[in-house]
Amino acid sequence: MPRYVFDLNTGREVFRDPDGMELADATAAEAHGAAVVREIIRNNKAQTSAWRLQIHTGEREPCFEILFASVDDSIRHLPLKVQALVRQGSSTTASLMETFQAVQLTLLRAKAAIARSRKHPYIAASDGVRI
Amino acid sequence: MASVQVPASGHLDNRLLAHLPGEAFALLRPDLRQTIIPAGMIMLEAGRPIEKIYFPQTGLASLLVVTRDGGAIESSTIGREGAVGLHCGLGDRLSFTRAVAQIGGRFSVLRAARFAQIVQDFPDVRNLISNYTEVLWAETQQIAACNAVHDASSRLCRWLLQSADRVGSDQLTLTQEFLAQMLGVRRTTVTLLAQALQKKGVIKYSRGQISILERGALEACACECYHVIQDDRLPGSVGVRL
Repeated sequence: MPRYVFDLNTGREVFRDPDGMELADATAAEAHGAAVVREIIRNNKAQTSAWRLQIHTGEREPCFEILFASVDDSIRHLPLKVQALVRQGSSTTASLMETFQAVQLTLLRAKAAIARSRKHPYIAASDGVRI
Repeated sequence: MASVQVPASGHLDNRLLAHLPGEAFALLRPDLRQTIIPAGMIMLEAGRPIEKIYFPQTGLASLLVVTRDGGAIESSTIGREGAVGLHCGLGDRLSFTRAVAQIGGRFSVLRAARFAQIVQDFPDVRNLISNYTEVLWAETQQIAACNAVHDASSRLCRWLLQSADRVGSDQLTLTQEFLAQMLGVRRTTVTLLAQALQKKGVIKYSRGQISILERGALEACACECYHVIQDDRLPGSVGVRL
């Protein structure tokens, strides 16, 4: 059976799943992912709707992602139009956070490049990899 | 399973045994066996007669409610502050829950029938059983509420603190599969929540070993249930002495 890994991206931080899980196929991985998202949302006081669970293959090739708002049962009582708006808003927030993450990384890399060109020491890392 | 006679001091690592009146303990002592119980061993099965009582010295036991589809969720944890199956000292009883060794370790084991004989002659031991049962009942109610209304991350923190207290160590040997079962969630959920705590520097997790690094921070992340069921607080709050 193929292995899938499930990373949690809160927009501010990414929590990696080091082990992953052997599952029959992508459909099973999606069902597992949706169940994990529901377990994290349940009774959680944090604002989780723009969080994403990012599913990769065992070789860390991206497969798909689950936006928390898309499986959040706590908005089911709202009219369909409002539910769609919540999901759309959460999706936009998630993209925005992702852009911020990318900008921060670029800034960090630029600082490192400048420091090194001036022969100053500079130590920074992203996801355990030195920048 | 190794079974050997040990000095009383080994048995007395269990606080319930240490609380027994001296005379009652002296009578029980020849029948107490110290056993090393491995993690995962089932001590009591739901619906089966309780034949032995297990007093943890260093290990930790969990009482699990098992559902028909084979799922299980923890309803209580028993460490050196208590005993598994103690209420059978009041007479023959069937176990309502499954009891499994969560963390392997030393346990003192006693035949239920022998314990029941001694209890008849010692009203103090009878009181101890009934007080302990009340405390366990209170804890079970708190955990039922906790499972229903608190999020998985605060429950995980509560569980780690409570278990650390009950084995007397900030290093816990247990797998994420087991932890997931205790909390009634998937292993991936436990992994991600543990990663978040690790990134904050609160715990350290490596293959089957969890270390609590910042106890205060872990308490701040736990739900209030940890403080409610703390061993030095709970008996007093239900008005009994243990």
